[in-house]
Amino acid sequence: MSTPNLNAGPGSTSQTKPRFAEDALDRRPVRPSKLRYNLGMLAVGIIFIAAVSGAGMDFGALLNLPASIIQYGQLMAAGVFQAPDATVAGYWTQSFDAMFESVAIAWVGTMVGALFSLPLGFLAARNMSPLPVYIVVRFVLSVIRAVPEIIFAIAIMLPLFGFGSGGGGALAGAMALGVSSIGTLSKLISEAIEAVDGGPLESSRASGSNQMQMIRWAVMPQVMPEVIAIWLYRFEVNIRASAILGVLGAGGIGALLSTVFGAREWDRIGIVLVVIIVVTMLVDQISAFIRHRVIHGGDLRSDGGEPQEDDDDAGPSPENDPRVETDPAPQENRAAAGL
Amino acid sequence: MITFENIDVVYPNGFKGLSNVNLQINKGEFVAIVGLSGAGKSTLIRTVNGLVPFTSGTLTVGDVVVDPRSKAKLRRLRSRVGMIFQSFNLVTRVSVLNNVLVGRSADTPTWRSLLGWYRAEDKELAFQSLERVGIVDKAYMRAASLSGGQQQRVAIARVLAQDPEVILADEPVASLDPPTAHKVMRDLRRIQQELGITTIVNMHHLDLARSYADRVIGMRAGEVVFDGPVEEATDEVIEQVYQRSLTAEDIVTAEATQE
Amino acid sequence: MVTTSTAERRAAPQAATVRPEPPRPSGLVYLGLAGLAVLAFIVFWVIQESGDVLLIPLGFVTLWAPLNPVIGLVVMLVALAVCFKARIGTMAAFGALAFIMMSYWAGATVGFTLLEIPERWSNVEPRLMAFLDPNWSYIWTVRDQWLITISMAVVATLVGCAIGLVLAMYASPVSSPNKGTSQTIKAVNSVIRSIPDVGWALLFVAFIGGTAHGLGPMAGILALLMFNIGIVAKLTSETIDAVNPGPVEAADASGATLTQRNRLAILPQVLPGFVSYGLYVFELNIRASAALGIVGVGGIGSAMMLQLNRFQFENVAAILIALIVVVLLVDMFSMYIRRKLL
Repeated sequence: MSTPNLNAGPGSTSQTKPRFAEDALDRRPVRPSKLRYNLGMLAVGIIFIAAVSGAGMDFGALLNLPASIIQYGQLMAAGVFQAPDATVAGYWTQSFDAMFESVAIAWVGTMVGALFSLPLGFLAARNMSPLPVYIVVRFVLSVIRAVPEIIFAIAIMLPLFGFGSGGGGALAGAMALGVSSIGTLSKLISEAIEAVDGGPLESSRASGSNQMQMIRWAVMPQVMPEVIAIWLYRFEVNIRASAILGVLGAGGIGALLSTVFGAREWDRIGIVLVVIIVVTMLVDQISAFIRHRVIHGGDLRSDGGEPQEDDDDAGPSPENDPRVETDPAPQENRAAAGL
Repeated sequence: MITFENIDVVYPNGFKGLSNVNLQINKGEFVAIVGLSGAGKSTLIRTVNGLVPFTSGTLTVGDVVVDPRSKAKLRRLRSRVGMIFQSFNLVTRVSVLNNVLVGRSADTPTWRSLLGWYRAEDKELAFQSLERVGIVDKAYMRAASLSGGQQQRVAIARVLAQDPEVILADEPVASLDPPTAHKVMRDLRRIQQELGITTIVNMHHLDLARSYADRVIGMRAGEVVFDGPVEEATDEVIEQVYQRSLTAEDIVTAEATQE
Repeated sequence: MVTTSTAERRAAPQAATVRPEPPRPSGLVYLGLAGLAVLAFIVFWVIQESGDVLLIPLGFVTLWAPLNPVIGLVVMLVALAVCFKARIGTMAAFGALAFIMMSYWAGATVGFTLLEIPERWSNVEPRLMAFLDPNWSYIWTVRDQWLITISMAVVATLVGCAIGLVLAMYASPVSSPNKGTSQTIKAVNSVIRSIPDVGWALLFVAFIGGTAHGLGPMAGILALLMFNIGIVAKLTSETIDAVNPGPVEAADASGATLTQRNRLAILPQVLPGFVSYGLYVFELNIRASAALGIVGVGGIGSAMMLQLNRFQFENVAAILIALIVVVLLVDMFSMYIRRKLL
């Protein structure tokens, strides 16, 4: 420990008063190159500037934005808080009806997606299906995921089921959402299945059960809570997605939004937005509660990592991996285990 | 010098962490606090730097009266009191050097921290701290790639970078295997002796306490039940503190053989 | 000999230990659930519009409209009976009941039927044929629109992620200055998230108004920005909630300010997740900016709507196929980056 000063690095002592006796044991390492990191940051910067100029943004428009937000915001607030006479009450009812129709569209769409996603999820899971099937299903799913739902709506569903709230547009919207949900749902479900604990699989195979029995008794009990959470999450996403389909003629809140914005009736716009916010937040809350219950069982444990599993199936895959890393519990367990 | 006068700690859930603790810890002392888990060792250590606010009494660190309500005063206090944890508490994704530089936070302007542009003298101090614990060669490695003992030394270097007057260590070796535990304790002892830093260490291994500390404080149920020099902390006395007979788990058996 | 031993074996457990029965759910609660089903039936009966016929393709039999709520009731009661028989807990049974009611209501609201598909198939066929025979030469003529779409997505992603990160830091109780701040920011964020992207687009189009060159991409970028902030702030703040508290405590103990602590102890921990969310949001943006063209925010979506309104399905098909290819490429690119960084 009391090795004499072998090397303290050139110049390290001359600039500043050494606070500690120099008993350095090891040579200071060479600072690794940050070139790649800096180049990466530079590239991001260049791309950003190129994108700003490429998009041809009109920054002058931003100058007037605060003023118009205040102006139109006041108009909207006035619409929301005006005395609800017969006409205004009609606006509120109409908004709620449209929003509920959107919720119904999203529910039916999610059901259609859910119906197909479970078998497809099994076919797209590497540990459940043979390689050729796996490759084909995976490819089909990624193509479905690449197609925005408006394309299903425009190309197939709207001409097939009709336009408008009364004329089958709602069903068309639901079917478009359903088909496009299949891609994401199946992928997330297949990932959940791939993450299944292998022990029960092995033991059920060892006890001579066939593929179906294994799925029923070893896989389903493990993945079902997560699958239900994934479905519910997609339901929330579909409520928002149904709005854009409504603008195209699929009924629901989108159709109403496009009407009131087309007419620039700011008081009605305010009412519609309030209804959207209230209903969406309500549905989100209920759905989050159910997901929590399904995943954590009846007793509501309030462990710190609670929202983890729940809300994070948002994207394709990105959330799952970092989560495992940042999850505090395993690290603490490891530390406690004396690692 | 750290003085506890009638210190009480009551947690928000009503649990009494410390009751009527009166202690005086002199400058440059190496104090080991022993007791069963839940005896209030961690609470005692954490009241010193305000991580656990005490609810009544007076606590002075050096010439400063600790005020747990003032965030700014606490920050100033904490810059002079370093702390070492059982689970090392390193940011495992960043380099060892950056972990050590966290110790310079109190003396670094916020904008420098945000950009990660530390002053040359801060970096120099961080390097010297790493040299002192003997792992300067790992400076640019990710903390995650280090072993447990090395990680704890990085944590010690982080504390040294603060240029502290007091070092608090909460079960610093409980997560380490016996030889490494001895190494880390030797490091702590050497630093305490060379730099004259007051050091308070929580531990549940009796023999470690006996071989490295000047003074032993025994705690039970939030109260100080023994306080004396290390020679007086005999097995009988500690059995009194624990209120059970000593077992093999209370002792780190394997002595460090290397170094 | 054999028979006696079996008999003994059969008799033994009764004498020695009583085998545990699966817990029987409360019959009273089930009765209440059945009452709920009847109540739902009454509601459905009252609100049904006789004109709307809920058709279930049962061998292509058209059911008399008022019968549908009865079918719903029967399904609900059968489900309850099955749950009771299988000794399923009352909460799960309630969940099943709610699921059936919700599906019934949603199905009735959207007028779910698959019966009309055969007769309406003729509407779809010409479009599908056009989509299968895209005008390849058209792809190259809209390259400027593509550039605008990708630029919009890049700008919205980068700015949105930056703002989303700051909001997330204030939204998570782990990193925010106090509980009030985190509650407020969370509430604001859920309002931002509850308005759909097309709602934001319509709002900003109305706020900014037209310019000499049409609407320009500003409204679209702002709409995508709000959309991104909502997603990134929510996901990142949940990641921050789950951060390892150790380094945070260590930073606190060394006298770091809140900002320093968040930068030094929390940011490195959430960075991989944050980058993933950014890439995910970029993918969403490419898709969304195509969809937002419907409300005229510029980019490839506007070009597509123009062709659609002219019934140039071959051109629309060309754009769509290019869109699919671009999204797949972005997907591959972000997978590459993710693997490289994490």
